[in-house]
Amino acid sequence: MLELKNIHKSFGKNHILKGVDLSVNKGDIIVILGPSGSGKTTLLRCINFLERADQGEIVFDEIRTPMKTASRHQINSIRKRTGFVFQNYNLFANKTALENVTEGLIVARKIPKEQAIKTGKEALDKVGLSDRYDYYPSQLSGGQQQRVGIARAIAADPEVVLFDEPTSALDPELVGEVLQVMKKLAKDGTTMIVVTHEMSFAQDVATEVVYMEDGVIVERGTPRKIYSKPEDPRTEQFLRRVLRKDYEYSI
Amino acid sequence: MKLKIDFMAQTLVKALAGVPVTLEITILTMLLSAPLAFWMALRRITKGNEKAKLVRFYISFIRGTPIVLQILFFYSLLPTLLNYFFNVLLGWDLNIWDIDPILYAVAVFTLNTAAVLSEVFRSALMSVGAGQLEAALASGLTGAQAYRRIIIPQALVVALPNICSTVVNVLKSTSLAYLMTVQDIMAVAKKEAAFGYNYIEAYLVVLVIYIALCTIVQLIFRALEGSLSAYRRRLA
Ligand SMILES: Nc1ncnc2c1ncn2[C@@H]1O[C@H](COP(=O)(O)OP(=O)(O)OP(=O)(O)O)[C@@H](O)[C@H]1O
Ligand SMILES: [Mg+2]
Repeated sequence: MLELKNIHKSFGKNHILKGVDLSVNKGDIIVILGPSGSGKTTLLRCINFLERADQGEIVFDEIRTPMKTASRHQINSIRKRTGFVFQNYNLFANKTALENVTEGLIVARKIPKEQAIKTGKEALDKVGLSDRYDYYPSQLSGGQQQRVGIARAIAADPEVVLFDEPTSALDPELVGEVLQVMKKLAKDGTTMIVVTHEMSFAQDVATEVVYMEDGVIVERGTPRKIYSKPEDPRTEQFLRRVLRKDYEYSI
Repeated sequence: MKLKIDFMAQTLVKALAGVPVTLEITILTMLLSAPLAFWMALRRITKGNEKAKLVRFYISFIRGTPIVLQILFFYSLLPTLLNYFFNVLLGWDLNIWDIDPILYAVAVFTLNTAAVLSEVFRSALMSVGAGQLEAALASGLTGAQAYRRIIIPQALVVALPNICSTVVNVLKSTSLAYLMTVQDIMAVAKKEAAFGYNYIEAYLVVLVIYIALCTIVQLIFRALEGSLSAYRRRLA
């Protein structure tokens, strides 16, 4: 359904993405792992054109878009087919929870207001915020804000939802509620690309785990394969490092 | 010393007739300079804009010169320029020297205020995090929609206190419009005072009028701020 081909991105002289390929099928839940600075955020931002890649192509249901030269129109159509969940939520501060969700529906997709409100409420119900429609972001906890962020990303029923470390800005006791929502979405068949350090999420729901380092994809496979017998020594080393604490619980 | 109360009452009535002129200049100046200032602020915020340098030069020129000088300079320059442009270049037959001096005053104050206001707008726009624009774009909004619906409403709340001081400053600066023969509060009072050398009384009246006007402006802005910034308040 979605294919990324040979994505390159540099910031000045720093070559950050060095030819990334990724292929996503409907219903896939792809978890991207990798050390800090490996380019995971940059990759997601390039998909959504928040960052302009220097080279590469994005193919969405046979429609090919060259990433460097994509027109405003092409960019907008890709953005409307994807949802983005930010690490720092980035909720519109001047809008209520419900307005955050309906903004894109009404303004960008021209859905009639009444219908948009209905859809928006359904999305907020889905993330367990039926009692917070009219709260402003400043009146919500971090976990609640991120759940609004997820509702906003899924409301228009996008074909892929991109998550950039959705739980890493949260207090530990709030991580669970967000992961739970994400697991529910996964069960409902939402296609997702998730950058996260939450190993439990990767192990439980990922259909594919991708390990990135230094701007390239080093290894990919089912969570079972990646976690039990990684082929590349770099993957193994990374997992050993991040799982050290988790092992004590899981084994 | 004994104040001449009768004279003060008379002057008050006469100077009050100048209030509409003062307000007219202030309001027109704000309305004209706001879009100009916004345009300049955007030029300076967007990366790699060649016009940013020009805008920066203009702002430092305005900020680095006294307003009295600007008034005298532009007031001498503008008619000559207009005359050259319309009558010499275009061959029209406009009587430039009959133009209402209020218009000159508005022009000069607009040139000044646009520079001040553009800095107010710029810092307010920059106070809205980049994440707000990105989230709006990711939601499918266009850049213009993002600015109109998300960024400007938030920036406006931040800018209000400074916009308020700008309005108050313009209002006070209009008292210099008498230099351009505009019959505002100040000009009327000066003329009255000159009759019997009742300067102290006349200035006292002017002082009271300006304090009243500025207080009203501040009250309006305080109310505006309260209603526009509702989203920032946490529930108790
Ligand atoms: N706008 C930018 N300008 C310059 N350099 C940037 C920019 N954005 C990212 N980088 C650089 O690109 C590299 C990759 O950043 P990126 O945010 O993609 O990493 P990441 O894999 O998401 O890391 P983390 O796990 O810490 O979030 C970093 O070295 C960063 O300094
Ligand atoms: Mg990142």
